[in-house]
Amino acid sequence: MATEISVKKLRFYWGIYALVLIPLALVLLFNYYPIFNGFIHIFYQWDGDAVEEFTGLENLKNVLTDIQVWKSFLVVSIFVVSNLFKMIIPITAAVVLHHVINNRANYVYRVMFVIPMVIPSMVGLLLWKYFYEPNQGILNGILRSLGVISDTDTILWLSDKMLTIPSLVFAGFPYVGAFGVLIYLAGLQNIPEEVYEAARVDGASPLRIFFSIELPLIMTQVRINLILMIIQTIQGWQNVYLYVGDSGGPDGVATVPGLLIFREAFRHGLFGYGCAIGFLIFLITLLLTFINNKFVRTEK
Amino acid sequence: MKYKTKQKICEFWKHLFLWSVFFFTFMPLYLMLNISLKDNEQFARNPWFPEAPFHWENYVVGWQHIGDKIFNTTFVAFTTVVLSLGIAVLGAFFFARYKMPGSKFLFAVFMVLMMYPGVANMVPVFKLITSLGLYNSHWALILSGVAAGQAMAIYVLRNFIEDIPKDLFDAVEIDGGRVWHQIWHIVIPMSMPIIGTLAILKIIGSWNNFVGPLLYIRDANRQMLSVALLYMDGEYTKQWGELMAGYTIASLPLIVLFLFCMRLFVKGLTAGAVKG
Amino acid sequence: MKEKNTDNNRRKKIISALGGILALTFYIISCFVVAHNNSVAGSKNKKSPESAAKTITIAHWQLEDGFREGIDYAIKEFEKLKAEQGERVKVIQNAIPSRGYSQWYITQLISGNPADVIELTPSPEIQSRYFMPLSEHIVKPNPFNKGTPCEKIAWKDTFTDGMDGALNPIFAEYFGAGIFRHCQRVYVNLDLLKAATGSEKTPETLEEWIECCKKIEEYGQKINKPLIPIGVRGIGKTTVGMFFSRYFAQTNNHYNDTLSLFGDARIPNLEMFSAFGEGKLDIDRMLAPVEMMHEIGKYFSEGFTTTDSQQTKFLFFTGNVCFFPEGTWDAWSMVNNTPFKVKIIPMPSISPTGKYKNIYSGRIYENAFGVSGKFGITKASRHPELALEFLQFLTSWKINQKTMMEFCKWPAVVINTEYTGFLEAMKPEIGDSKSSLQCPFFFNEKSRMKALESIERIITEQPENAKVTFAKDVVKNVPILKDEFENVSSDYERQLFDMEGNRTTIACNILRSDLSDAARKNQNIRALIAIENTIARELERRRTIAAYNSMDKIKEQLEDYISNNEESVE
Repeated sequence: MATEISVKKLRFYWGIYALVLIPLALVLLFNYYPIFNGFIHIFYQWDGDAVEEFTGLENLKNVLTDIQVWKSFLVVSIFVVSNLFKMIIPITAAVVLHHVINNRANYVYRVMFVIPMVIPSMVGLLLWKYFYEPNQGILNGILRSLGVISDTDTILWLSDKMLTIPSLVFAGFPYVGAFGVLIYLAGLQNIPEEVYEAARVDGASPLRIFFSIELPLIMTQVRINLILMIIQTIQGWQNVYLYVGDSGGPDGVATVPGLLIFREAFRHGLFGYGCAIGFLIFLITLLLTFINNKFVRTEK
Repeated sequence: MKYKTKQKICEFWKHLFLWSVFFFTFMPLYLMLNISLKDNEQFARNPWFPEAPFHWENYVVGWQHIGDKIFNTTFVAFTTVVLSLGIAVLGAFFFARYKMPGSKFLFAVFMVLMMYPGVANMVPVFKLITSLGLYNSHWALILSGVAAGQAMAIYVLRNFIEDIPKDLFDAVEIDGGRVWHQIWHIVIPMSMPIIGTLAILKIIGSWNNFVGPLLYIRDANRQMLSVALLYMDGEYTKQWGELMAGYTIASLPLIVLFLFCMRLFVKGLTAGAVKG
Repeated sequence: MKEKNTDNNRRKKIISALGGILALTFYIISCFVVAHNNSVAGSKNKKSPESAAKTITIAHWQLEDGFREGIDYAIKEFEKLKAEQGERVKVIQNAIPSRGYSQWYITQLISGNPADVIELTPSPEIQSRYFMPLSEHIVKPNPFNKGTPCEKIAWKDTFTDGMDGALNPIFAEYFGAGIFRHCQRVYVNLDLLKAATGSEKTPETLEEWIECCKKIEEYGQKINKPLIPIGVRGIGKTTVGMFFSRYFAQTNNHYNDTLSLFGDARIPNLEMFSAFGEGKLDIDRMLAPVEMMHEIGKYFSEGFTTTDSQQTKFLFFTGNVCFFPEGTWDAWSMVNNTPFKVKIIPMPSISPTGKYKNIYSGRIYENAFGVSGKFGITKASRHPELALEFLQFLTSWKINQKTMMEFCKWPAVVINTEYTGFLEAMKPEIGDSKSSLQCPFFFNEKSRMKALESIERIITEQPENAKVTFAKDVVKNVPILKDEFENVSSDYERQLFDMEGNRTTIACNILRSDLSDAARKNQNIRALIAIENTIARELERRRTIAAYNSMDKIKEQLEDYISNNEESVE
């Protein structure tokens, strides 16, 4: 219902452009300029400061042949797949909560789901880091009191090459901290009663109801969450940094692309190389978005 | 009768499932509170259950570590939100109310950003911040936070404003109100729920932001909460009680904020969720 | 019904309003706190630079007990001293955890707005680019040493190592001054030792140590408890490297005398490789430390290669470890946090009369190294003179002792200090050799790690012939060494190229007619320093190439040794 302003009427309304100027300026400065700046610096060996040496395609060549880079994408795809599975519990919890008959309990439960959302994510991550702590952490403590390992033994959850990635994947159980549960719940609440009546009359089992009715109808939310999750996981590196530091764990086994950029640029001083890796991430994200748009139909 | 018992059993399983989920979700928080009142010796002996004497002084030490960081974080978060939404409303109003020549192109400029991975910009934005002389200043975080949120906020707000009946705007315009009046008296009151939701999301996002403060803030007394917690964890001799007390203190502000805004937030979430 | 609803609604509105007011007040308080912090920091105070106090920041990563308190004390004293002289100064201490330090270090140096006095990391290029050279200051006495025995001594010589540790060899310049020293000691659980061996006598030689460890293992089996004789922090291979370098020095230090070129009892690191290539070194003797590690390593903790210091400390505190070799930086926390008696002893060395008496070369001289905690002054600092004064203050005779030895119980860096009471065990060993010796089996980080990995394997797998196994691994690593030499020499080439440009600039400057006398004198000094730097670097470059060329001959000699000794089983 926007008012159409044609070019002719422009001279009366040109002031309106001022409205969009401020956000535009900000976005151009803080988003577009760095994008182009970063792209240009792919072709330089840059130490972040004054030393800039034009090296042409060397950075790109190194990125494509560096096995670290490809390993990091492998690691991040492991995380994406595991995050996919991690979506199951919030969806289930939302469905179960939706079907709880007692209204008061329902309200109490909804409040209880909100609380973990408000705890700063740092606290959550650091608490899980404490879980995995080899000597005094909770996990090893439980195992010791159960007798699974002896008193002087420790399982190095985050320092053992084989255990690092599984530990990172498992952390955050049961994964109901983010917005997932409440958004799915909102979607479920929109399902009209008649649909349930009809299904019950047809004698459908609860499982059938879930798969044939509920799941398709909350598909929009699931899809949105899925896309957001994939984009965030590909870019995300804060939790890996928090758990195992910028070396990415023993032998850098848990390095993800974002962590690689951080390490190469801010620790080793290879800013141009960092820009090149960033560009690679951009290309892959572009590819995924393209696939998403072409093959996955979204309903508004 | 049979149906009733069957229902009761079903109910029982549902409650059981939800309570087990809650058990695992809240266990870390329970442990955090529990350990925050112990000293290192009590903790080594028995981290599971509360044990007298309770060491309330852990909270004093925890506050010393992160107390003023809370003020820093509050300042940055609130300023970011106010500026970000204020500016985004202007932009959204521009797109929703008028279709100026070039609107489509400008809108695409914003939308393209939604899909650009922010992490690829880590290096150039850092360089930009230092060139602007904003290093070690809170404005580095505020401005980059404001810029980062524009695309999403403008998109959501535009959808919302488009739904406001045009007659309301025309009425104000006829009364002689220019653009500013239209925004102030119509747009903002009517989009309160969605603004509220966006605000809370942005506050939580800014509160949790950790890479920005890590890179842009040099001094310890200007540091944000997230990085301060990380530093506390990096202490040489870990005082677990004080550490956990610090975590607890760090969680409180948002919880308190939430208690007041919960209804607003949930309502806004639902509205937003429905709109897709 | 309706009334209840409106009541409810009103209540909700009041709650929301309260919430809003609370949030607003909190925000206003935050603004004030932030503004206050900003003014205290005093950065970018464009309005009144004179009235505001001059503020400098000191940053480091030492979070150990007592260090920050010591620096706080030094800050208070410094501010007091300056106030008496009529200047208002403020010093802020910024402690960054070691985990994030290297990234914090780079970002703030690049930003152009760094702290003023910063703890240095080893990278020489960063040091020379961002930090003030100190050579002109260190040849003069430290002004804060007035009234102390060090009053007339050049600042450089008030350090126990003569600031050798602070020398940036590539640029032949000093960019920082250390403020504490560390050496390795062994922490002994006396109660456990007494229970296992019947006496509290701590071992002084390697042979005695092995005896003690055997007894501890037997005792552990007797009481059915998994006791660990020597707890080792494996991560980073520091402890293993430390053991190895000690034993290597004690068996081979005589080369410093026999091979020194200028009679100064030291042989440059790279010359060791050339000497090795020419066959001047005794391979069997150089491999002796490997055998010693092989023996003592039997008593290291299980899986030590991946344990970190927290874990080993934990095991020590719970009484499961008898000997814990660690640096003196942990001394205070080790002695204080344990329920049993702890004694600090120097690392048992090879005895001159024992099994290895034929290859014993002398004890090491600890004063020659160990100075760390080097703090430099950033070029971009706004108050460089003040920062320099603070650094001098920190390293002055009285203050350094007070902050390091009293507050965090660490050895001080200044000469003529007394080590009493708790610190007596940290007195540096006075040995025969004046400097450390480069082991010719590794050079830079990569080859060093590979060599230490090999030693770790020898310890954990306990092969029959340790020396031959190690020699084989060194032969495998020869390509890595050659690579490293190549990289280093091309680095030097690049630097020499830069230095040429620098010297040319200085030469042109000297020829300018508009220079004052003082400025020309300065340029002349710079020219001399530039020439010295260039010569030093060219020498290093040639030595590196010589080392590279020796590698093939070294490989031959090692292979000879292997084939000669493979059959003999120890």
